[in-house]
Amino acid sequence: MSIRDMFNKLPRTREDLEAKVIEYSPAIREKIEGNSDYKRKLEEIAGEEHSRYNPYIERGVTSTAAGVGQYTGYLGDLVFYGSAIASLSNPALAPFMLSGLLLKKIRLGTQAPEMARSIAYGAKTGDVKGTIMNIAEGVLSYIPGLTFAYEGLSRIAQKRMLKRTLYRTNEALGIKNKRWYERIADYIHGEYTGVKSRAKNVISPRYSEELALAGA
Amino acid sequence: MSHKIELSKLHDAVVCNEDDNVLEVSRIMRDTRKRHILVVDDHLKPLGVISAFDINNRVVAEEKNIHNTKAKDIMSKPVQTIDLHSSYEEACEKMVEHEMHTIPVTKEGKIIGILDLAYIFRDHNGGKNEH
Repeated sequence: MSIRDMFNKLPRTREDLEAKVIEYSPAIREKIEGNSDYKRKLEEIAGEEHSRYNPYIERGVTSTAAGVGQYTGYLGDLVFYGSAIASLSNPALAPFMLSGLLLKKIRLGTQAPEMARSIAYGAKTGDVKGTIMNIAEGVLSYIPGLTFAYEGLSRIAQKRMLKRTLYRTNEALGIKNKRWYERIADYIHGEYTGVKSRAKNVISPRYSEELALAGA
Repeated sequence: MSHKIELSKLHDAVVCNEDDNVLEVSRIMRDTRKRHILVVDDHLKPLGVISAFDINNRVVAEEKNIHNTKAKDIMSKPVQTIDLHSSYEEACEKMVEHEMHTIPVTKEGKIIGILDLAYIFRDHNGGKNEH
């Protein structure tokens, strides 16, 4: 389990995925409450996306090894910086920094199979960006103190699964995918007075002819 | 020859009307999470710019009335802009000269978007990558 799961849990099962989509999108929730056919549509899309990404969501030897490796990495960071600080008062402790680096090496070794697997993930799902991100995070997290930078293939797959389900459900239910200022208005609505979507105040380069300012 | 500014590479511009009052201006900035807003006339011609600092310094600190004070009363002007038919190199020079990291882009005098200095450096090497 990634340490990020403690703060932001992402869906693993199809049921979790449906629940998260409904939680993220009040528009989808409203549509589903008013029509049971929409609920079936969501189940269908969530089922398809879950089958597609499920093989890459924490399971098997590679994920377990990567999970153990992650904690080894945190231990490596602790040993490295702990002995670095301790060696300031007692130089004899400086060689223990090498133990920290050794633990980081072990960590990289345990996570290499998962990084290799992310290539298959990218090829099968088309999420090449996810593959690149996984490998880049793996390399970056090798630096002492940066173990946390590695979020793991599982979370990358979970995020992608959630995004695609949300997008496809919005399309299937005829819900417009909202623009950035509409999402901000939704997000801060209720927090302040007079919040509204500011479409009339946003000049979008590609739609500038259609979007005239209020009073224009 | 330098690259011309591409429409598809511009960001959205957040604007207010010159006659909007300060309450409305501050709410537009809040609802779009922006720290700067362009002031335009009825024909989308850029007239000035208002920052969160301007609202603080020229309205709140001066105890001005947020309902009666208009955007045109507190905006900084003139605003530097660049025409869509200009090159990235020209845009870059103007931004460096005026110490700006974004610049409003106009077409026939009307605002159509914002160009980001970071984009120029990242993708166009300051417009000098062809030389």
